[in-house]
Amino acid sequence: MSVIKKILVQKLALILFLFCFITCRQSSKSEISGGDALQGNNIEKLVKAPEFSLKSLNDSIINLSDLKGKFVVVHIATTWCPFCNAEAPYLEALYNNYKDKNVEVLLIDVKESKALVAEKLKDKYKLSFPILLDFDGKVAASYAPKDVLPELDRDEVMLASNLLIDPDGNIKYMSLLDSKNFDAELIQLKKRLDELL
Amino acid sequence: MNYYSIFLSLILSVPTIAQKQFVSFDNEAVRIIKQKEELTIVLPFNILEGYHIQAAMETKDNLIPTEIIFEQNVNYKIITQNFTLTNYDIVVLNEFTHRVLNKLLEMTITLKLSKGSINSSMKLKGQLMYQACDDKQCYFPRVLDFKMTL
Repeated sequence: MSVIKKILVQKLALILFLFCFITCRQSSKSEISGGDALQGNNIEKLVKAPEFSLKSLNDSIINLSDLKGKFVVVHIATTWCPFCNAEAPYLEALYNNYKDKNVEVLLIDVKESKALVAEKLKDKYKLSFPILLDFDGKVAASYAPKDVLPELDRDEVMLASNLLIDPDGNIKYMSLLDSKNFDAELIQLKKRLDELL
Repeated sequence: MNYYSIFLSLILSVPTIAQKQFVSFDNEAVRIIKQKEELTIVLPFNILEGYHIQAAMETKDNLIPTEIIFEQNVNYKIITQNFTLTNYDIVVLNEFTHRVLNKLLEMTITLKLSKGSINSSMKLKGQLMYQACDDKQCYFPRVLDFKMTL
C-alpha cells in the first residue's frame, strides 16, 4: 500500500474515532432531553441541574451548590445575541421584584471576554445581579438538551435560554429561544416562578 | 502508525469538523466585467433558507454587522466595495425592530490591476463575517472563507 493510501486510511479511521468520541461525550454530558424542555417549558419530572463553578465579573467564584435553598433563575447569553439584549432589562426588573422572595438571578455569558461583557451587558443594561463567565462554553453545554439541534455545538443550543432551578437544585423550567413566540418580558418564567413560590 | 502520520492525519481531519455554515459563496454565479485596467466583480452569497444574518450596517445594540474583508494581493488594489443586492427582512424584538438579511446577498467590488498583471491569472480571496439566526436559535458568529480565480 502506498504512503498516500495509508494516510487516507489512517485519516478515515481517525475521523470515525473522533466522530464516535464526540458523539459519546455529548450524549453522556446531559441528562436533559428536548422532551423535558420543550413541552410547554415546564419540567415536572426530576431533572437535576448540572453543578457549575464560574467566575463572576467581580472575580468571585459562584458555585450553583452555594445557592441551595434558593430559587435560581439562569439566563444564558452573549453580548451580540439580539434576543438576549431584548430580555436584559426585563431580567433586571425580575431580579429587583423577586430578590426579596428567595430568588437569585444569574446571567451566564458564553465564550466572551470579561471586558466586553462588562461594557456591553453589565454597564449598558445596568445589570445589578451576578454575571458569570463561561469562557469555554462547557457550563452552557452541560445544560443543553441532548436531542435538540444535535448537529450543533452544545453551548450554541443554549443561547438566549432561561432556566429556573428550585431550592433543591432541580430544573423546574427551561425555555429555549423561539423567536416566533419570543417572550422578552419573561411572562412565562415569572408565571412559573409565582406558581412555585 | 508513526508520530508523523498521526500528526498529518490530525491536520487533514481539521476541515471535516468545522462549524456548520449558514451562508455559501456561489462561485458559479460570479459576474466579472473587464474594462482596461479595472475589473468589476459581483460576488453572490446564498443565505440558507429559513436563516437570516445581521444587517451590513446600522446594526442596533451590540449586534454584529455582516462584513466582508479581502486578502491583499500585489496584482491589484481594491478601489470600491459595496453591498449591491440585499434582501432585508424585519425582526421584531419586543420594543424595537431590527433589519436582517436573507436569501441572496451580493457584493460588488472594483479592482485596479497592477501593471504587468492585466492578462495574468489571479486569485481573489476573502472572508465573509456574519452572525446568523433562525426562528429557533441564534448562532455563534461565523467566518466563511471564499476564493475565486479571476
